[in-house]
This record gives sequence, C-alpha cells and structure tokens, in this order.
Amino acid sequence: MDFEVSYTPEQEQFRIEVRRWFAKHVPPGLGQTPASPEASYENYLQRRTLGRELGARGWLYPMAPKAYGGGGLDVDHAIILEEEANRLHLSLPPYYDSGGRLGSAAILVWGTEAQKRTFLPPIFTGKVRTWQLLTEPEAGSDLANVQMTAVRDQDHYILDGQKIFVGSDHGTDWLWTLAVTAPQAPRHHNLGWFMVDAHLPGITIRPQNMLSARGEGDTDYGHKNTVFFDHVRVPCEALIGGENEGWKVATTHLELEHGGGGAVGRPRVWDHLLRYCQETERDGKPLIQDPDVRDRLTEIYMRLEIGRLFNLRNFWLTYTHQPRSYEGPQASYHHKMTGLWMTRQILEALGPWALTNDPVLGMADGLLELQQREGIVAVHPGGTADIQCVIMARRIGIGRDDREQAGTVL
Amino acid sequence: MDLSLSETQRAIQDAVSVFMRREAPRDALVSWQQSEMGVPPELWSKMAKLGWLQLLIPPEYGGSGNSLTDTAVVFEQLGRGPLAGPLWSSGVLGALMVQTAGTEAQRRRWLPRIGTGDDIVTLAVNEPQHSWGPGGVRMAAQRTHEGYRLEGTKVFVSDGVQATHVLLAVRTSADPDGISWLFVDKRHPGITVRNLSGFFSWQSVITLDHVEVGTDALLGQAEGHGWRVLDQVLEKALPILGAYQAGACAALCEMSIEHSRTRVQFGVPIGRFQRVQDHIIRQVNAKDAAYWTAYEALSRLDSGRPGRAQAFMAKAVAAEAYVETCNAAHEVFAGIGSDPQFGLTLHTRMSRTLFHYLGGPQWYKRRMADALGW
Repeated sequence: MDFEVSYTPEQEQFRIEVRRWFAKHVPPGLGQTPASPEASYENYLQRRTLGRELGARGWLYPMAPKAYGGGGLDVDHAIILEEEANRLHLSLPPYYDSGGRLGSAAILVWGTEAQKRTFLPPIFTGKVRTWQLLTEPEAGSDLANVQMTAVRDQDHYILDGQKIFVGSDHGTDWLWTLAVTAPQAPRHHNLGWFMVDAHLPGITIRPQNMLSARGEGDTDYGHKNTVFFDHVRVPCEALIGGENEGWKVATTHLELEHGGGGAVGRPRVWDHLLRYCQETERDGKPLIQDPDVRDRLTEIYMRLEIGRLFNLRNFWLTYTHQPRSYEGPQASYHHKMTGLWMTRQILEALGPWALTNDPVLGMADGLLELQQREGIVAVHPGGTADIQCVIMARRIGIGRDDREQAGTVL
Repeated sequence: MDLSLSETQRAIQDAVSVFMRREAPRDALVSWQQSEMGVPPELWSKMAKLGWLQLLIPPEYGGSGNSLTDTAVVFEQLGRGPLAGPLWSSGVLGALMVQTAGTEAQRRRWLPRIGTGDDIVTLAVNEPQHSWGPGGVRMAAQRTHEGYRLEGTKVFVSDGVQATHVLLAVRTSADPDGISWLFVDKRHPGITVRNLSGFFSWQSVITLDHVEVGTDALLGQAEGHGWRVLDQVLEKALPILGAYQAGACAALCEMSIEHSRTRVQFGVPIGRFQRVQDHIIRQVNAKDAAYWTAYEALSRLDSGRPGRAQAFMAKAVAAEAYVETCNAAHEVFAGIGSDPQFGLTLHTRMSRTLFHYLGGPQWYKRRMADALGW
C-alpha cells in the first residue's frame, strides 16, 4: 500500500510550469476573502477571467476529455494543478461551479454526442458557470417527488415550477434541473433532466438568506437563491438522457455529490483552528497548553483524519475504476456529522469567543464563528445526514438480499 | 498512491482466512473460552509451522523478514475469530523487543526460538498500584553479586500462562529513564502466574517472590532507556494490533448484516428498521476508521516515512472502534448476543481487554498530539 501521491520528474517539471503560469496570471490577493459585497463581485469577475484563461489551456477541468474542451490530463497532473491552486487559496474552477462539475459528469455519461459537443466545451473552457437546481419546497429528502413540470410543445418543453436552495451570489449563465415529463408514470420513471440557459424569459432568480451560505471567495455574506420558472420554453435538445430518464441521469451527479468521487487533502478550517490555539493566549498561556483544549483538538484532528482517509479511499476507488458501494455516502455522512460535532467541541473548548466575528474578539478572521453556523447548515445540502444513512443501508444490504448499486461517475 | 494489498499480501490473507475457517471456527473458539490458554497447544504448533511467528524476524535469525503490513494482514484475519494467544505477545512484541534492543548474542539466542514457537515471550509492564506509563514502572531490580533480585507483582500481562518467558519492565535507577528489561524464565522458583478472572481474555497476574536472575538476563548492553525501547517497538506494533481489531470489527459487521436479513420480527427482517440500520452503520463506520488508520500508519512505517503520530492514532481509533462495534452488535443481536455460547461475547470480552492494553485511547491521543509537535 502507498497512501502518498508521488510524482515523476516529468510531473515535477509540470508543477514548475504550473507555478510559473499561476504567478503570471493570478492577480495578487485573488485568493483572499473579499472585504465587502462589492469587492466580492469584483473578485468574482477576476476569478471568471482566470477561469477562461485556465480553460484555454485545458486547466480549468484538467481531467475532462480534450475533445470537449477539457485538459485530457491524468489524475496525477490534475492533483498537481489542484495543489498549486490551493497554494494560492483557490480551487479549480476558481469560482463556485458545482453545477458545471456535477452536470458535466452527468452529460458525459448520459448525453448524446451532439449534446456533449454543445454543452461541455462552454463549461470546460470557463465561458459559462452553471448551477444545479434540485430541491423544491415539496422535494427535499424525497428528491424524486418533483413537482416542477415539463410539457412538450412541438420542439420545446415548457417548464413551470420552483426550485430552492440554489447556487451562490453573482448569478449564473446556465442551470440544470429535473422536471416531471410523465405525470402518470411511476416514480423515478417520470422525470426529465434539462440543461437550461439561465437568461431565458420566465426565469426569475431571487436571493434566499440562510444561517450560513458561503459566497464567492469564501465570504460569509453569500446567499442561496429561489428560482421560479414561469412558462419557460426550453428547446428539446436540452433534455439529457431521453424522455422520462431524468432520475437515471441524476444518479451520476447524486453519487458525486454524496462523496463518491473522493478527494485528496484536509479541510482548511483545521489549520486555522490549530494556529489560533497555538498563537492565542488566554489566562496567560497559549490555549494549546490548556489540557482540555488540547484533548478536544486531538479528538477533532482524529475525526478529520478519518474523514481524509475516507475521501482518499473514494478518490482511489474512483480513479482506478473499482467497484464502489456505500463509500460515497459514508464519507459524506462522516463529513456532515463531524462538522456539526465540531461546533460543540470548538464552542466548549474556546468559549464564547467562538460566537463572534468581531474584528478584535473574533477568532481566525471570523472563520471559527462561520464554522459555528456552517457546521449546522452543512448537514443538509446534497442529501441530509439521515439520507446518507438510508443510502448506506441499501447498498450494504442491511435487511435485504438485493444490494442497491452505486451510481456511475466515470 | 495505491491502496490495494500486494499479490503476496492477498495470498497471505487467503491462507490465513482458510486456516481460520478450518481450524478456529466460531464453535471451536467458544469451546476454548474457559481454557487456561488462548490457543490450544496443537493449534499453536500448526501456526508456528506455517511461519506466522517468524514474520517480523530477519532471515539471518531464521525469520522470513516480512513487512509490518504483511504481518498486519495475518493479524487482521486472526482478529476475525477473534483468535487470542501469544502469536501477538511473542511473535510481534517479543520479537520486536529483542530485535530492537537485544545484543547480537541475544538476537541469536532468542529470535530463532521465538520464531519456531519453542520460546514464548510476553511483556510485563503494568503494576497493581500504578497507571500505564514510565512513571508506573516501580518494581525495583536490586543488584546482587551475580545479577538482580526481583520482588513484586505485574498485572495485565497478556498470555502469561501460555508464555515460557517474561520480559519484565523493572526500575534499575530512580532516574526517569531508569527502566530496564529483564528476561525471566517462568519455570524459575518463586514465580507464580494466574489468569485474571472476570471480563478479561487471557490476561494474567505474575508474582515474583525472591527471584534471582543473572546479569545476562538484561536485554541489551546497558541498563536504562527501557521505556524508549518499548516506545520504538510500540510505534511499529500498535498498528498491527489495530489491524487485528479492524478484522474483528469486520467480522462483527458481517455477522450483524447477516442477522439483519434473517432475523424476522413484526413480520419483516429486522434490518428493515432504521434503528437497526443505524447500529450497523455505526459498525461499518467504526470498522473502516480502524482499518484505514491502521494501514496508513503501517504504510508510512514500511516505507520509512514518519509514522509515529499515525501509529498512536491507529491504536486509539481501533480500541474505541472495537468497543463501539461490539456494543452495536449487542443491539442488533439483543438477548441471544449475551449468551456466551453464541460467540458474540468472545469479541465483547476481547474488545474490553484490548481497550487499555499497552495504554488506553486517551494516553495515545495525548502522545499523538505530542508527536505532531503541537
């Protein structure tokens, strides 16, 4: 076994090339958290510019196929790009493009050749950013209980309905969604999956405030959105995977959203927490020397390490094309429950300081206060913690002989 | 990055798995639970012949010089039983102690015989009035003309009854580093050994009454630094124990999943109830945490990277995971799980026995923090 990602001399050479390119193309301070909503918008525009420059080299979606505008690179080169972006506090893409990431994966698996040629290059080259629209007022954990309708009208579908908890700040170019195409058909066989231009007439996007919602550049004054569809005419070519096959398409991005793709690395909040405890004195000595604080930090570190190993395992399973079962939702469940549990640990260990983002009293530039809120909110998107358990139970085969299969992601 | 076992490791895994099914199935393990020894002597000889006591011994001393990960693959399968016994105490801890601190003559004297199973060495560290740690080693080794005189009691000694020799942690000076290791032949007059009664699997009390040993009993060239030796050995050994516990957790998961499909109450398999599902999910999560922390530590150590913090973490995670997985299994199996003839309590006992064995989770979490340099 080898848990380390190791690099050949050719790959190290690639790293130098990437670092040089980043030094030249990334504006100073781009990775820093913007200080105001206006600055956040400026920062977002710069990130989109960088995205297009990366996209022109195939570095925005490094592992996506070259034929559709991706980089066609292998996983080792992709990790190098990601690591070099992380050094500058950026990720790839350098802006919120969850819809592009998950949607492109679904189109790669289920789209026709023509659809791949239409929809993928703009995503992979950074021309568009994309949001995913899944949750509805009546379709939360029961995601398949979609109420939004798509009625065929010659060479168009007409979409009507509402989606909630969508996207981030600063708007979007594209979005994709699930809508009922066959009201009489049984569950999971009644949906269509549509790729939609966000500027079509009849689409209204309204901000929706949450206890926490990260904005672009990791600001904490971002928001989610409610999206209304009022008689929106979408061309038939926007239907991916065929009529009434939307749920099948969704299994791909749901699998990825449930942690099935895996990841390399550790959450950033840990470094901030440790540094804060090492550098901050309370009652005349560094917090880290308080035995209670120290014990709680060890517990937090261990849970984060276990989460890192789960993600690493999933990453390895995915990119070596091995069968997966419950591993994705397990990593997701672990991540969600650890975040919630950490809010309590940090609150107990560090006291009421954890509850303010006051520039003087707040901790680690307010990031630990943000964790207090985010740890609660993050339990629910992409399937609640309870839903992750439901999926795990089906795939492990608890109480049943037939085991549910994991969604196809590559 | 490659998280798969090598071909050799998969072959080892298969061989041990077949052996366990044939030689130590659940009903056999149940029938041995009241015996004085963790492994029946006939089985011990078979395991020794298969070379499982020689895995960590270098070829120049008659061993097969396998990696820590290879060894862990064996122990993961043994943990599924759980098969107890001094394969661990002697084949891992004993062998590593001699290899790490022994003189050349001592390596030649001990390692081949540990490898064949003719000598069975176990470590005695804990004392009745003190907790785990260097400060807890108080038994004084009094210098005599020919060697040392020993007096006192050691507790929580694994496989003390089955062992032929005890490697005894003693104090040779009051200095914090003044701990040394002495080999004591169990047949020596003045030594009595008994298994501890109660909720333990084969942990013993050893009493030494006016026992005299020669200077050649001292492990290594000189007195002192004994805790450092133990520390170096544990860094390598603890993740192997973690793999044993991960294997035990895996067996518990499989038992519980099977039961969730076949046990019918309220007209449906009990696994249809989300409460029952939650118990099994707890088990699966604990099992995977124990497995991946153990093997990451082993992989680092085998490839010469620093693995100290990871090894200590693996020990803490595995100790807690095993207890957690057993507790969840008792929820799944309910009443029948508490019947000692059923087999679940073999694990329950072992999970408790290993919890504080060689230091508890809290001890290792704190050592992990120290090793990370916080």
